[in-house]
Amino acid sequence: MNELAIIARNITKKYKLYDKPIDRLKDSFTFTKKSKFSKEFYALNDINFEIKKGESVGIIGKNGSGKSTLLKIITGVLQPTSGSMEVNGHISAILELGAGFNPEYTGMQNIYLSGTIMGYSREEMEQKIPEIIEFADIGDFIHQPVKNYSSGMYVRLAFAVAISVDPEILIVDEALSVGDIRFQQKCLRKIEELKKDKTILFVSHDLLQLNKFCDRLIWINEGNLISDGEPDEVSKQYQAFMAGSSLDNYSEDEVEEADEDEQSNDIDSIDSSVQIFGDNKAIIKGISMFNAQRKKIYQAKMGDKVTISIKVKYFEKVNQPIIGFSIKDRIGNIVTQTNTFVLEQSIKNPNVDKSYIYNFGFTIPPLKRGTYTISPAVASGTQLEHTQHCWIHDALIIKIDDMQEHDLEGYMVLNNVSFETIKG
Amino acid sequence: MSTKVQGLKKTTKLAIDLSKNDLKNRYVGSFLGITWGFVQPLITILIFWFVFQVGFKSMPVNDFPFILWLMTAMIPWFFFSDSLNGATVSITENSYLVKKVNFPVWILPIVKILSSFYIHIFFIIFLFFMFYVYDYDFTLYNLQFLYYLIATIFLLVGLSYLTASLIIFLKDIGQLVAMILQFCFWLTPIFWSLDILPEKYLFYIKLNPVYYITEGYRAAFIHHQWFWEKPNLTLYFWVFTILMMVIGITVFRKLKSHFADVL
Repeated sequence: MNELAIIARNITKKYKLYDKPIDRLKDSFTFTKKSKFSKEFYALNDINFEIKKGESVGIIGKNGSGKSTLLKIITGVLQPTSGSMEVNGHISAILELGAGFNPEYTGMQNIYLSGTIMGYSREEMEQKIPEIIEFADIGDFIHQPVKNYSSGMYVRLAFAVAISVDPEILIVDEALSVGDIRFQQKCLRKIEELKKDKTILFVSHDLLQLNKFCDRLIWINEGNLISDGEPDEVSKQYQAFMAGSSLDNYSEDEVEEADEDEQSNDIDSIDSSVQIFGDNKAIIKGISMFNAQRKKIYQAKMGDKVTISIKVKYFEKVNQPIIGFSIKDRIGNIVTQTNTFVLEQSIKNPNVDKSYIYNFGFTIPPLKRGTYTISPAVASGTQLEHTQHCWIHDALIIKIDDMQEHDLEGYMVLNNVSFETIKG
Repeated sequence: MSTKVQGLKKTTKLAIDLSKNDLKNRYVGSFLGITWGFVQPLITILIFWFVFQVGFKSMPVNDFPFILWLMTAMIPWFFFSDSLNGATVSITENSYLVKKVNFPVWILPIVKILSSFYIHIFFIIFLFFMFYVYDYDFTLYNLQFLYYLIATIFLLVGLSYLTASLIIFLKDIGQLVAMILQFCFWLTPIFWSLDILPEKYLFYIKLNPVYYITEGYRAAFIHHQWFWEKPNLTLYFWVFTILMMVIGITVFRKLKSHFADVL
């Protein structure tokens, strides 16, 4: 038997961008190689990899990097412009939230339709129906046209159908992120179960999730395969790259202030996409998290000693500034906050046109795993009455891992729980 | 070799399943459902019969009851226009299959032709029934409709692949097909007899391949004439049809790889 499930050789997908569909038609019937109607765009550029049977592989990359195109070529929906894709085994895929559903059909009809397309008889599908309905868990909506579904329901059904047909290769393209947390967990448990004997390809932006589930990560950036290997290693490179790419945008600031402090070099500047409030008397220039060895990190686990460094530049005179930050979870709840006022740290009046770095050292609290954001602020006054000079929403994104084996609900991890049974 | 046969078997089954689905869902949401598929053509036939026989007091053509004479040509026409209309939009309509799953796109036009075919079979049976009601005996000539049915399907396949793949790039094809069908309906002697036409136009009318089909059904049921008795027309039809198939399938194959990119 062939040991490899997927072999990609020199896969290149070149898109020609046309202004009008008719130009594409003209182009298809002209015999000259060079097209005068189109601009060229490489969605994938000479991608090579092999995936063994039974391997779970995560694919990462920023938006528009070619992940979905690659998956579509693997499933055979798209043809590569050049190169060859060899797939051994029956594929079931959830691409861009879809599984080939007819929006006019009801959920039930679509289940049968998918079955028909994948070569199952009506009787065979009838046997699978209870399992699908139970997994999708969308109640009476199963008898409604899928065009009336919420995106969550759609994905629930798509996923339920995709796994019911017993594929040898399962492809999941970002679909899970639409489902609520409970469904995500349910799917992940199912994937965990399937992992034993199936080949799984998995696109996600959640590196923690990928690290947990995948044997291997493939990182694609702008159509090029950048890295392929151990999840730990690749996700570190990826994170560093993503942080680096935002640094680039701020290069002029960085040059200007390079000589001020050796530490300031290492603090990430603020991404241009964040929302900033305040009177701009002082501006937060950067924020980063460091571990005990003063190495910049974006991921930590509970109990780790970390330092949050906030770099502030003053443009006008500020009396007795207060520096602080909030940690928020991914839906915006403030988990905790602190500032120099409540810490009873008084700060000397800063000089105008100078930058300062403020370090907050603390231990990562027993938070549940997930993505958290840190919003730093500079103010002056007191806790009750103060003027905001600069307040940046979600300036720094960090991941926290709780090292728990099971996913429980709630915000926090209950540590060192003792338990006994007393006979009554 | 056997996997190829198996694959073909699977695809055939898929096409049949999908065409049944298509038939069922064409009138989905309406109370009478699939009945409309039969009622609509029947009503049209009745209207033409009423207008011409009762209103204009048309004489029986070739000494044949007008209703029978009309039906024999109208029924294959419905099959032709219904199929072509459906097949033209078959790929755009099912874009979710082209873009989301690895699907044999080439069966989509066939599926539409198949689903119209079921309705056509019903009307053929109905036609036999009507001839029986009017006391005409069954003859071997009648079975010739099978030949003309196959001819229609071949013509449809060629045309459908052409229109179905072009409409993806050029929405106007939809309007164009509707217009050509409209023309075809009036210019084909379906509800009028060729006898009323001056001799000099005869040649042009016969260029229309649908003429071969509608007159063929009449030959089978009314004129009792074999298709090899008009070799020139038969030859012309098949040359046209095979040319159309070559063009249609070539265009389809050439454009197929772009479908998922455009839809």
